[in-house]
Amino acid sequence: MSDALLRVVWSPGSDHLTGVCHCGAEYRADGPIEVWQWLLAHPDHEAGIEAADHGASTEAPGHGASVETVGHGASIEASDREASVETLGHEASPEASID
Amino acid sequence: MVFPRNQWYVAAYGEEVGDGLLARTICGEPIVFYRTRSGDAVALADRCVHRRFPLSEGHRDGDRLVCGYHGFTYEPDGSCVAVPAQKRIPRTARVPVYPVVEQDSLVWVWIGDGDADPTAIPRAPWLAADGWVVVRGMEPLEARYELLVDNLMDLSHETYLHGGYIGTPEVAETPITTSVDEEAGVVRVSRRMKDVECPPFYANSTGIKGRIDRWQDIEYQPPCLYLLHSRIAPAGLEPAPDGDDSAAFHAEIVYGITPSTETTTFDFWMVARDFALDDPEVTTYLAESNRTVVMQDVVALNLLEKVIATEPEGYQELSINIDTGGLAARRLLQRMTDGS
Ligand SMILES: [Zn+2]
Repeated sequence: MSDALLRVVWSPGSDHLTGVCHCGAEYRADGPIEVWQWLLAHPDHEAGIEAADHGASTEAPGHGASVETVGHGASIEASDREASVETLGHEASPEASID
Repeated sequence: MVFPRNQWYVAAYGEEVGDGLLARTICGEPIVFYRTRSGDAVALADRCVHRRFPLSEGHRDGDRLVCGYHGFTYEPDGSCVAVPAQKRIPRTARVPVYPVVEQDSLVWVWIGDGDADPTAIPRAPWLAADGWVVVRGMEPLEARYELLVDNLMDLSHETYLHGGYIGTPEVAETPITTSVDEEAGVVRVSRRMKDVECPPFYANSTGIKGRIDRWQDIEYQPPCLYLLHSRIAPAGLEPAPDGDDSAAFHAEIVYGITPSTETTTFDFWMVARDFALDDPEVTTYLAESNRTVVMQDVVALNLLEKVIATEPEGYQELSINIDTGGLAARRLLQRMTDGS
């Protein structure tokens, strides 16, 4: 796989698109324009949206805080998110973690 | 003109370029194509240096082209070797020559300056490989090429525009993954349908009676080449662990999306299959059905072009989730256009 691979996963019926950056960061967006904006912002991914789904905030000070995370090859199923460990994103800062 | 330049485009099918003179405007550039006696395809600017007369309206003298207006005569390399009633030929008497490569039964032309690297031409090997049978055609589109890209990147339109042929309800209901390889410049959209209805297009050509697994894997290599890797198999039949998938049916659906002018496009469509190879009825059926499907798109896109022509400046369209792949394609095309 290329270092430059950006992915978006969508299940019709679901209103969300899940963007997966080559750095491992993930983001749940409400539409295609938003999801591409987020992916193309690498490495300055805006934190955020996903947290709303968990009722917790991932808002982190400063840019580049990683949202959530997956190791390589990790599943991007929504159900796996709860279990996902804090991030391996390149610019992740420990302060950004969800507890 | 706003086209990605310094790119290869499909200009014709190999068999279209022969003894005659084929005129095609590609990315706004009028070009005349013919084949020399030694079998090489040639592409020259279709405009005499003298008074602009289209060379495609002239005739051949061996491998040379003779202008039909005053007889200016050109070699396949574009140099002028004869003008009427005088011996001295002006040094500037030369028409531009376009790099041409024939590969996978397609005639590719380089539009731009700089290095026309033949290895940069994307491949579609099924079009000229043993074990595959191809049906194909070309429809001139009265619409900008971007509309065809939009159309092909979102196959959920099959359900609505092509019901009864290739569309079934499941196409619009199945999860899709879109990916962009930023380095290679490729957009992929993958839809793997399991245990779904078999549309007539495939039921009639494969002979499958029941439900199917149907894969649609799009691979768009902007600006010109679009591939749809289509896999059809009886429901539950997976490729073998060693990768052998010979029990399934495969159709490689290929499009050459070639801008002609800003609002017209050459829609080259091809269907290669690896089944029913010796069955002429299947060949005829697929050719007719696919042309019908393509014409449904042509009618729709021509209509869209008219709508765009009359809409107020600054009209804002709306994009939803199904447009994820189309937006990615647009961005790569924009990047190519800006960079050229
Ligand atoms: Zn990233």
